[in-house]
Amino acid sequence: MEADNITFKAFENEKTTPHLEALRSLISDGLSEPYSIYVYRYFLHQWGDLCYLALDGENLIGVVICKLEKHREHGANRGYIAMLVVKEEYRGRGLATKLVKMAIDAMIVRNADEVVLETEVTNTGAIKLYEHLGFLRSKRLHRYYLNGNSAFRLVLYLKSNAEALQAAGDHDHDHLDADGEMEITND
Amino acid sequence: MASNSGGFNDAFARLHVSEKPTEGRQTTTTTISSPSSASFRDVTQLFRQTCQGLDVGQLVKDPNFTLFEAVGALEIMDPKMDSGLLKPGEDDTPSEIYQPVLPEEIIGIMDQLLSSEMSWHDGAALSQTVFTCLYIDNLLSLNPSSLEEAKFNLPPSEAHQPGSPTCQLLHLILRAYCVGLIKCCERVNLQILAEHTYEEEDFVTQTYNVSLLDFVTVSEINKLIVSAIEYVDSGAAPWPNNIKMALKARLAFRKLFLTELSRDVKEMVEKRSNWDGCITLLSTIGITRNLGTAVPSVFSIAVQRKLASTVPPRPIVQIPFEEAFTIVSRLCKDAKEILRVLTYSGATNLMTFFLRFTARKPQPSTFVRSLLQTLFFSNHMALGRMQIGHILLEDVKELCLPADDLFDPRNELSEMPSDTRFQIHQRMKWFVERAGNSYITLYRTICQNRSRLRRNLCHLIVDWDALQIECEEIDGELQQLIKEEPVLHNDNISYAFSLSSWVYHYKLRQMEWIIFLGFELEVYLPHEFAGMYWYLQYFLRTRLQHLERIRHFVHPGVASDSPLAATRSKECIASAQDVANAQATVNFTLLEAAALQELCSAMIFLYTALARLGLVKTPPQPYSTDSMRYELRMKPFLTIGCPDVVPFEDFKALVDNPEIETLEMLEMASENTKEGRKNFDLLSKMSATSSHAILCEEGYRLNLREYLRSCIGAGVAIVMLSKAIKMNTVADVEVEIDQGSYHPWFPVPRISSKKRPPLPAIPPMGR
Repeated sequence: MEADNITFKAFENEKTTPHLEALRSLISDGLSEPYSIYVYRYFLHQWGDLCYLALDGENLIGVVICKLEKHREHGANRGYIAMLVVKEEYRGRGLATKLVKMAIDAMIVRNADEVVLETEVTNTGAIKLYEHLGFLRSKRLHRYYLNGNSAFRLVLYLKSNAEALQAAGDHDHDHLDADGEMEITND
Repeated sequence: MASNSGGFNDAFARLHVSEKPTEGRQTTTTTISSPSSASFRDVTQLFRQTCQGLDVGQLVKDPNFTLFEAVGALEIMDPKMDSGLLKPGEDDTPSEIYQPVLPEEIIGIMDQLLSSEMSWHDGAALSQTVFTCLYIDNLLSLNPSSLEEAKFNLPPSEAHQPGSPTCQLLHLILRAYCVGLIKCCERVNLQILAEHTYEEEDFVTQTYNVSLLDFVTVSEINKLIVSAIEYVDSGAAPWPNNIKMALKARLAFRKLFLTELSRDVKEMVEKRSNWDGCITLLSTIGITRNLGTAVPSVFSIAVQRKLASTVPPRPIVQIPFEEAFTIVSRLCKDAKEILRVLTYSGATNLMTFFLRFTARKPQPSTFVRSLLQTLFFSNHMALGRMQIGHILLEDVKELCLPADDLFDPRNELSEMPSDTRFQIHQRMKWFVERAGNSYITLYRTICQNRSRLRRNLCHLIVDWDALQIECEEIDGELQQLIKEEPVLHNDNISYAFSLSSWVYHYKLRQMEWIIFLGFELEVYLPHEFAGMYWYLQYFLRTRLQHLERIRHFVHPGVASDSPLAATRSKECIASAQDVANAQATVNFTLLEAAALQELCSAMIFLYTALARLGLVKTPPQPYSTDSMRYELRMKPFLTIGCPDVVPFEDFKALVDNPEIETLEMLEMASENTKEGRKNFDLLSKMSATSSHAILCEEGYRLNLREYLRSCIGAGVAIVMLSKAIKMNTVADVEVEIDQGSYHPWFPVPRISSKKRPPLPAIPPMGR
């Protein structure tokens, strides 16, 4: 495998990037949870610019899928990394880190306050990857996945609360409050 | 990201708070019903035509179609999602169920069923466990509404002539066992739905619209099981004695287990429980385990195709018999153990029991933790017979011993709003109601799984913080009503503030638990340990000071000058024993907090030293900043009024202690471990009564031993590290954090010298 053949690009939309099927099968092979086509379309049509692909020539070998939106009405502008997969034979070369960095950088440009995600507690590789970028584990989620495994919620603050609140221009302490629960994380 | 309804992490969606689950409760089942007048129109063509107008990549989306809907959607014909999908070559006609002829096979099926049942208890769905048994499916598929209808519907078989022993094996013995087991599942489901648990997370109560013999009574089923036992015992059953014994033990266990699962709190209060009977029968089941022959063919995943469900197919879960046996044995033992709380012996003892019982590893099952909640509080009664206010006030008295006048029963009799007694009563009534709710919630929260406990405590402390402020106000009013005399404390004139003091003490404990559980759940990384122990030490130090203050106000005579002194009821006056008890409680609590504080201090120094020596490393962290990460860590505490979150720069200096030499730091850590050990030793020597551990002495002592082990482990690490510094061999040292062999709240670094790298291999000849 020649390293120089590997390129990265944003997904943007289905017209510019005819990789939807390849993307589905890559993720389906890589992750335990089954996702319907609606899930992919939900993310890709709203945040195609926060989805990055790694390609070896024309072959899709890695992908990160994200979203970015207000967490509750006056809450933080929260980035969320929904899926991250790199083809097995391409692992250990920093491709996943590169993909995640591209996504976070894009979120920063779009004024994200924080980035969150969940990962299986047994997935030490992924946990290490995120922790080496600056994420912290904020809580453990008991039996979060269909297969019965627990998860860690990982969080990265991109702004301090004071900044985030100022930027939001309101004094709602929603973002500050100790409650991490009420968030309807349908994710 | 977790998928489907199962993975949703919505606290509301998962929380059951239904008091009385009713039949036909809501499930995720979709039934398509239509009024008879409806007429249908085929829109396929229209749909296709409209699609022609769309560009590639163009999406039509309803704004109400959220991620929730997207994740909940199933795709037909996708093998990961479509439970009805037939793979090429598969066919849908139900294959004939194998009809066993040997008693050994029946024993085998019973044991497989127990494995399935316990897999369900352990968190898998019925569709992956009990329902995959073709006999259970066969029995339930005609939706029986009476015991008579609850029977197998099997094609006639040569080997099973009516009345023959083989026929009885199947149609009496196995049937009775299956009916009993289904009813057990129903009872367990009812119990779990009656209390706070998290659907899918702790337990799956989903029954896919299959009735678990809801309409058949327990006594009818017990009669059926008894007749099966009688048959086995009779001369008509031509099997050797050991086989008979195995069958009888399984049937009798099922009967007894069902009886225990069906008890209400009243019966438990009346000491009618008989979990020991279950435990005895289980040992016979264990001994006769090898007599069974497994019949794997009577379990099939194909059953899932028929179940009305919106979740994707999930694999069969059937834990090995040994594991199931352990789970069921533990369940019976734990269910027996929690009955101890019914022997009320003071509020502090009760709290100790809840804390120790639920912290056990592995954690007691969801069912038992749910039952414990019911025992604690149900039908507006605590422990089956008490007012919650009584326990609450005892808890306050055991620690803070407020003025006698607050508890005078005469207060309640006063009906004149201007009367002091009336006014005291109003305030105490408010306290019982307001604090009572928080108090019940705390007990219930402690019964949750450990991850939830930590998350929910983050909410609770906000409530207790508000409660503290509200109680301070009430304390102020009460102190005027009873004309409380101020006392000199730390050069300040001060009042007892008993109610808010008690609240503050509990709030501080909960704040400590949040961080301690962070260690237990491996939320913190080793490079964060020093900082998090610093916070623990800070909270503990605050609590110690607070306890000193409480101690100052716990003495006889606090209530001597009250205007109510003349008319005071005798029964409300604190006895010398009450005073001594409260003093003893405060002293014990001080000692315990001091021991923990010493150990935390040792850990701060130890992990700071490890960081300095480069033996615990911080990852690169190119994004965010340390101060923002600090903010994230402190999030649960940011809104708490007191104690304050320390500014980041101060925190950093306090943890890093740059002015202290590393060796000196280790010296200090060593002193802390010694002090901690001394305190834990003292605690170990105290009686269960003085330790408020009379309901759970064994678990309490085990916990103390684990603290001691961490103390000793930390001591060893400190010695090895100091030695390495003095000998200049730090470069050869290797550190591994041991989460497993010590107290889960105090992981210890295991320090060893690196193995010398092996000598380079001799290159092969000729190269």
